[in-house]
Amino acid sequence: MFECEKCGKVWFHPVGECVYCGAKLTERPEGKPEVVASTKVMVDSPSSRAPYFLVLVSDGTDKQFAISDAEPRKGEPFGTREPAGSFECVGVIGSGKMGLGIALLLVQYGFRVVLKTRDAKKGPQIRQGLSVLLSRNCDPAKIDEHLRRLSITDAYGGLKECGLVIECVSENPEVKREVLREASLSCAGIISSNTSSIPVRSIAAPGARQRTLGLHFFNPVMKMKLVEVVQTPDTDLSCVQKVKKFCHQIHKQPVIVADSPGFIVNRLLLLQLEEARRMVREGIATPEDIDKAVRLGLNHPMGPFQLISLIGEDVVDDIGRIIRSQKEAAIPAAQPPNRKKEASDSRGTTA
Amino acid sequence: MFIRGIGRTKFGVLEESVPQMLYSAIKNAQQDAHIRIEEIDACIVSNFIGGQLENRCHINSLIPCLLPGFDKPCIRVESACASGGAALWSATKMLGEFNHILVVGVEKMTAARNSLVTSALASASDVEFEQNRGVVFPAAYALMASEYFARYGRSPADLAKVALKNHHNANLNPLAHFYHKTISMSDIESSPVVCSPLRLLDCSPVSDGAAALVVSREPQGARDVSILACEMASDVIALSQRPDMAVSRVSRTAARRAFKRAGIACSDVDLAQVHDCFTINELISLESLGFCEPGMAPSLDTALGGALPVNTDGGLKADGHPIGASGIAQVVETAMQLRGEAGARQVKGAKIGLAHNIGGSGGSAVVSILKGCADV
Repeated sequence: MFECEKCGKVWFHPVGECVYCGAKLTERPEGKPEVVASTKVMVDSPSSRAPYFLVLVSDGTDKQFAISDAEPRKGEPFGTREPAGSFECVGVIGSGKMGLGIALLLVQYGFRVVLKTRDAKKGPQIRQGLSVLLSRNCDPAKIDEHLRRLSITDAYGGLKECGLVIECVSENPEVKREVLREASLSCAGIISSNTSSIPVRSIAAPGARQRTLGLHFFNPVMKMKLVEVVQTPDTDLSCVQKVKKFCHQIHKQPVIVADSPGFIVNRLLLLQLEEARRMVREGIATPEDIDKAVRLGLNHPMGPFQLISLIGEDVVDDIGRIIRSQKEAAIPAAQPPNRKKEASDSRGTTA
Repeated sequence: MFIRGIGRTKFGVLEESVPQMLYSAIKNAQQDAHIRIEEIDACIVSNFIGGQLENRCHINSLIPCLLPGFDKPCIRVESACASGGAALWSATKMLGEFNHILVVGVEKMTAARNSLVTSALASASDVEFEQNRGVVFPAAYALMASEYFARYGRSPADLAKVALKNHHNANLNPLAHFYHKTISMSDIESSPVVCSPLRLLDCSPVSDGAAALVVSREPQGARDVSILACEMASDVIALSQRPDMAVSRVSRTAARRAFKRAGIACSDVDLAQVHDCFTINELISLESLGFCEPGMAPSLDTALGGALPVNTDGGLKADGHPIGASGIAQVVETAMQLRGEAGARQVKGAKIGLAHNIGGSGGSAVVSILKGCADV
């Protein structure tokens, strides 16, 4: 609920300024919600399948509807508060496609972002590029507001205040290891890598393994909803929880995956791409017909060969090499006890 | 009757929701009009496919949520792509009863699946005789283009010139969907065919956005824009049931009524916003509105600085086409031009402007004729 600082009028949508007196609106802090009324719903609604309980909750001033699986009692406190630990400031290392995409996404969701590049002289150029990208979907007045939240630095010291750092440098274990080591020394927050296939534990700084995890965004960052959250055997559960909440805040869907070759998406993808190439070698079908079959029969937006030409033959080969070499090295991958614990801890908050 | 205040959002792929876009446009128009919300007597909301895309009907009832305490009459007006024009038309009819009316149009289109948007847009056409027989809007306008080419010896090159001009105008309009995008003739000519002979860059984009007007019975000052006429006309919904595909009969009828009401001729008009949902429609409409003989629209000088600048904000083609807002944005642009506040795309000495808004393939149309008040 948003309240005008001057005239006290109230809005339920985040509309910015008061149309009556021009003053800023401030978000009213939420009190403790209590059940005011409820009904058991026996017909399906667009947002939930019957039966469920529709609950009207109030914190004394603000009333809202909510859905509950369990029968609520009038006057009882409702729900549990989301765990705190959102990040006010996020560091992004690397100004390639993924780094810039993530930085752009975060400033639009109101995060302060520190972008660490190798060369701070490129700052104005990067800012200009981001401004053009923003102009595609932003009011001109908002572009400056978004970009004011972004600072660009070439010093790791700039990451000091970040609650979360996302490393997005080139897919090279040596480079990533060095970057994560530097980041861990400068920043006491959660350290993450946007690697798509390198085992996170193998590049984590030895002194910071509890607070290191994988955070694999997909290209293009603005459009793709998925984030693979990679949990190593050392990663603290609290870090995973915080990062999950962070993903929801930026309207992404996190999945939790153990530190393993190719995680979920690339492990499956690689099998498909390599099998498609094998089919062509064996003369089973033409690339065009394989693409068509996968599009129409599996309902994928594009076929394997279209995808290979989009991401590049060399990149596919690289990922394949990395995943195969890891499988052969038989890294102890999944950690079932941790996984179970994470799953049970999260029960109820994601439903 | 006067346009007292104007306001709009950026058009394009926006992150804002329908309530947020409505609020921005209303606030801009209210501030521009120097009017208190309490003085507004009624509100008309123009929206076309919020029902299909977001299950959001009864959108008029959002207004009291955005203007706390507002309990005056609010209604939603829908006439497909002419919803904005029809909302303004309704306001002019209601000004007999009221002093100040808020007219606001909005559409949120980019968050929905493409297939859903396509089918929702097709709801502006006839069910039995069009939708059930494979007609989608690009196809309807493609057939009009083929007929036009065959009859007047015109070609896709004439359409490309319209696209190029409107994209150029949009490059001068920071709020336009394609403000940032530079389009060349070869981009247009090599863009993929959507429905032959129409290419992608002959089509208006799918956009989000909102636009608002404060319309008043009495004048307020020199920044007012007088509504000399706002006339609506209708025609049968199915294109196949109209006698001539190369003429916009509904536009001709609305224009004749509007010119008669305004007591002026086509030659008195200094600039026009013409419904260019597809490039072909700018040409056909200019002829049907009476600006030239049939088949001669490609010879008109419609660039900024030309004899009759057309779609100075980029038009639906390049300013964007958030349907419920489009017809109102045409009036916003016309008012800016007549006030002399259009900046880099200002038409020098513009005194009279025309806005032309079509629903569907020509089942409804609204023509408004506006005059600046600076020297009245």
